Amino acid sequence: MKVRSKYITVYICLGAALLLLFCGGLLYGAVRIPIRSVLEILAGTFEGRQTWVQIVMQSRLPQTITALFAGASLAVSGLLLQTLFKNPLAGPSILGISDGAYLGVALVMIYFSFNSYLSTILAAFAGAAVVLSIIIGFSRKVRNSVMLLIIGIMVGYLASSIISILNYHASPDKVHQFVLWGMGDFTGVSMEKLPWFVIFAACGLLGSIFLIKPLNALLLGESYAANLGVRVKRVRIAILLCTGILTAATTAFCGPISFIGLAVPHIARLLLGTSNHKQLLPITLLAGACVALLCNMLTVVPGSNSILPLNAITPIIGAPVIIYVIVNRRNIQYFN
Amino acid sequence: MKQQITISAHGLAIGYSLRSGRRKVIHNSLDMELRNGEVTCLLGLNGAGKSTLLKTLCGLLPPLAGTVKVFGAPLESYSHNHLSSLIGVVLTEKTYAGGITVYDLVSLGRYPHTGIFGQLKESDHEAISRAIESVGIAHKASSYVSELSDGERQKVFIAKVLAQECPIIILDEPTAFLDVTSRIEIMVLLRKLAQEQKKSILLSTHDLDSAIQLGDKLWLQERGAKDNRASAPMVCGTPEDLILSGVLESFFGKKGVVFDSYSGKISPVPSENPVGVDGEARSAFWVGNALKRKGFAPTAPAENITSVQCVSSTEFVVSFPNGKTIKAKSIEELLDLFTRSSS
Amino acid sequence: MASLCSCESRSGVAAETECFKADSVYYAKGFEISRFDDWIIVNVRNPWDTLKTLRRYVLIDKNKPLPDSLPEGILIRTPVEKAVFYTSVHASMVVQMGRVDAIKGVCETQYVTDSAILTRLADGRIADIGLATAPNIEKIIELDAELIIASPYENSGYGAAEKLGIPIVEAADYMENHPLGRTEWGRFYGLLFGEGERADSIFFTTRERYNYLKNLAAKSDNRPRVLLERKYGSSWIIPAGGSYIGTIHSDASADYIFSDFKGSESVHQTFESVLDKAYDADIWLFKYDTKHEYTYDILKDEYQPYSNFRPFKEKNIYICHTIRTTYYDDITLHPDRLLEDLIFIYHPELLPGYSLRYYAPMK
Repeated sequence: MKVRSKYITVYICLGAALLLLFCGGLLYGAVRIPIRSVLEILAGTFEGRQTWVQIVMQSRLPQTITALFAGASLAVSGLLLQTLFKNPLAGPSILGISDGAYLGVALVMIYFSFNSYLSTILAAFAGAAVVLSIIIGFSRKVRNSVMLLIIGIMVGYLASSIISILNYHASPDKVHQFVLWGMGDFTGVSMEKLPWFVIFAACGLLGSIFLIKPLNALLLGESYAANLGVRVKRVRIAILLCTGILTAATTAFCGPISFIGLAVPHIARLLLGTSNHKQLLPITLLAGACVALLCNMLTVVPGSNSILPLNAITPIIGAPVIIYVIVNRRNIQYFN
Repeated sequence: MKQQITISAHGLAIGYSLRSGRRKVIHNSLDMELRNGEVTCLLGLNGAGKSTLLKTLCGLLPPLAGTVKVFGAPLESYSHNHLSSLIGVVLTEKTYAGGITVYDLVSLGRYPHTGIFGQLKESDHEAISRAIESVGIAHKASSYVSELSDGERQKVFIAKVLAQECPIIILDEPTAFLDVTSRIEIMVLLRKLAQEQKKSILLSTHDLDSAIQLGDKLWLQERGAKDNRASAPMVCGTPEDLILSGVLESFFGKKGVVFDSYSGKISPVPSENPVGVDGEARSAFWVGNALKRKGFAPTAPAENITSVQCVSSTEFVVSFPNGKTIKAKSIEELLDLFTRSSS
Repeated sequence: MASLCSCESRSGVAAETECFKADSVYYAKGFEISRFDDWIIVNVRNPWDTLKTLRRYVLIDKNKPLPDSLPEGILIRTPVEKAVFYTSVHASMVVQMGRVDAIKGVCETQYVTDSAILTRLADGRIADIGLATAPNIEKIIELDAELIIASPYENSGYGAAEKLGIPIVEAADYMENHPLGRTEWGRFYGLLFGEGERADSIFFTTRERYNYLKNLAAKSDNRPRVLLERKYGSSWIIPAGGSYIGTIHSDASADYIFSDFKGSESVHQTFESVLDKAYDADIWLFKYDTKHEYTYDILKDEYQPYSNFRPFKEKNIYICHTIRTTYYDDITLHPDRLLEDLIFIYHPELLPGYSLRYYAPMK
């Protein structure tokens, strides 16, 4: 079938890109390390500068793995939300989940002045969990998905306004700290913390794979889905939980990262041409990982002493995609 | 095979629960029975609550009172999954499936029969292909749903419900967007399913012609209850019985509209302007049709009224009360005469 | 180095005017003092565009009558009796000159460490004006303030305060790159409160002490390689070699590892760059302000690769809590004290018997 062969091509190309970008993340960085040395370091046979070993194994390797899982998590989370709310402009930031996580961290960093790593992570989870339970609570009462989306947006605004108030009253150095965290960062997860992030992300991703069938049914609307045997209310909660775990984990470990959740599902749909989640979900996952790895590499500007913040780079890739989709929506099938 | 009652409703009240705990009751206390091997057509004017009734019968809306039984057991006693393999629906709701192919959409119909990941087996693929063939869109199987016309899209949804392979199929205005040929195709298909596979088919429609011709039973749904008064009960029966007993006529007896139990058509109320029509049977029928359109009432020829004698399909003789006769070669000429003479 | 010259003077009295030009301002680059018979003019340069003037202040003694034609600039009648300070550091400076009575209001009192100010805050003699970014204007009016001293930010005004008609002194001392440059601004503030001579002598004393320490440090052969601060988010913010921090550390005769970053702007570096360049530093210093005290365990927990640095392995890390110590006040007023701390850390043999004021070895 035409779609199937296209799917295989895209799958292979993205897989290759992923491999390439993963290697790129290990080989390219602010410090020039020759390719051969990197390979030897990975193989364990390197006999040279110890700092290079530390850089590759303790900085680049966890950073690259983090980027991979963060990108995949955010992209899948965005896809789930776009299908659930039947709105191609939905994303994890829209529902206020990342704002909730952000608020949790703001409270802890600015108001309570804790600065440890652990407190940041717990705060992000707590914040995301609070917003998520509010949304899940409403989802029991509100049948209409569009209404639920609007509630999510309002909750997000509420969280943002509280953050503004906190920022306003905080001292400049605290605000600076918080703003730095808000720039998004794949480098904060060291090898020993990495398994936690990977576990949470993997749980969310695995859960989403089990949701492929009901997601496809939901394309037909909730009545048809119910008639096909889908328990719509339960599935809605499952989707929100999955997306919540994925977003909260990513925000907790990497700070809020914009645009990947919103734009990557569109990239996947444009590549594949179909909205069938059986193909769309895995491709979204791969594409998300690729985009995040690419952005991670782009934070290091070659030849300059400086680095760029992550959230300054993601819109450069994400915004043109969204604009393209909006401008061409008449010709794009999944919009009609 | 003995006929079975597939869905039955007793004392059914349908409507919506509103936010404040109040309920909007559209109909209270309906009784009806659906049988297998039959096509049942649900008729009623817009706003009568046909969609609400269909959704209640298939379990998408909860009944406000009364019971719905499927194969003798209450609807609520069935698990979601079991029910989805018993009742399949075609609705009028907006969907967001533009981005998938026709084949993929029809394959969604197999979901009650597939496992957790929706994996399709050989038998599933066969069912899907059969369904696509039988509605006649095999040539569009790899197209995206958004590329189809409204009528083709309608057929895809019908194919999906066919792929679902349920003993009961409920359809809400399935022929709404279809052209004349397709409409008949679908109705014939539904008939075949009822007759050959002994399925229960229930559909709502505005297409009176097809309903009378191809429906085994008609359900007539009156407008909903106003101000909590009891609404009119559902009238059910074979089309011919309902016609001959005059029920259909009185059902459609609204201002300016009349059900003609001779032709089986709904037409505007005939005027008091009689014109006698006589002659060759087929031409006479169509002359009558044209005269009705112009506001005349075709009837048997009589002394003091204008009459038309249909000699053949290209020769008509008009005789006026004053004795004058004029010939016309076509119905258009004929009508010209009438309009000229009446002015 | 006062030089006699004829400067521009509106009143046309050229020959007798004696002006102290900028070269008698030794370290500060942000202001110039020019003395005339009847007034003193202070030009504050725009720190973001040093060719332009940010503000010009005309200081006229209250006891002298106002001349007929005033030179251009913001008029301030000195000595000022009631001033409002947006930053506690400037208030502390004024305390040092013995004019704590002139302090009527301070912003952001949670950062005040000066005991004289704290006492007066407690008994209400000094009012809390609120946030520096959104001060309580009504309070300022109620205090009948004659002067506001605030820190300028690029392209931002002072909001409603500008409309009060009270002169605002834009204290750009924090933009100075040399530690003594910041201290020297005290001479300008001294003029405002009628303590010009006293401020000068405080400055000169500090300068003497600072230079003495600097020369002392220069005698040591040892120049330890020094690493500063930590990673925040994805970047490690490195002060440049020409910055305030860079200067004070070099004056302590240390080899600041990133001193080859010229200029005074901080640079954002990746962790791996810092590791590659500074992994074998001798000593590591950083500042923090969290409630809990940092330890080696906590630091390692925060980011495990920190443990790769030699100072971590050899337990040569010194940390400074910026709120529990008077760090921020003192770096402006008494950079010599900070220098002393640094010299003790880098060359303990030069200062026997000294105990650290700001930094302490991390546990």
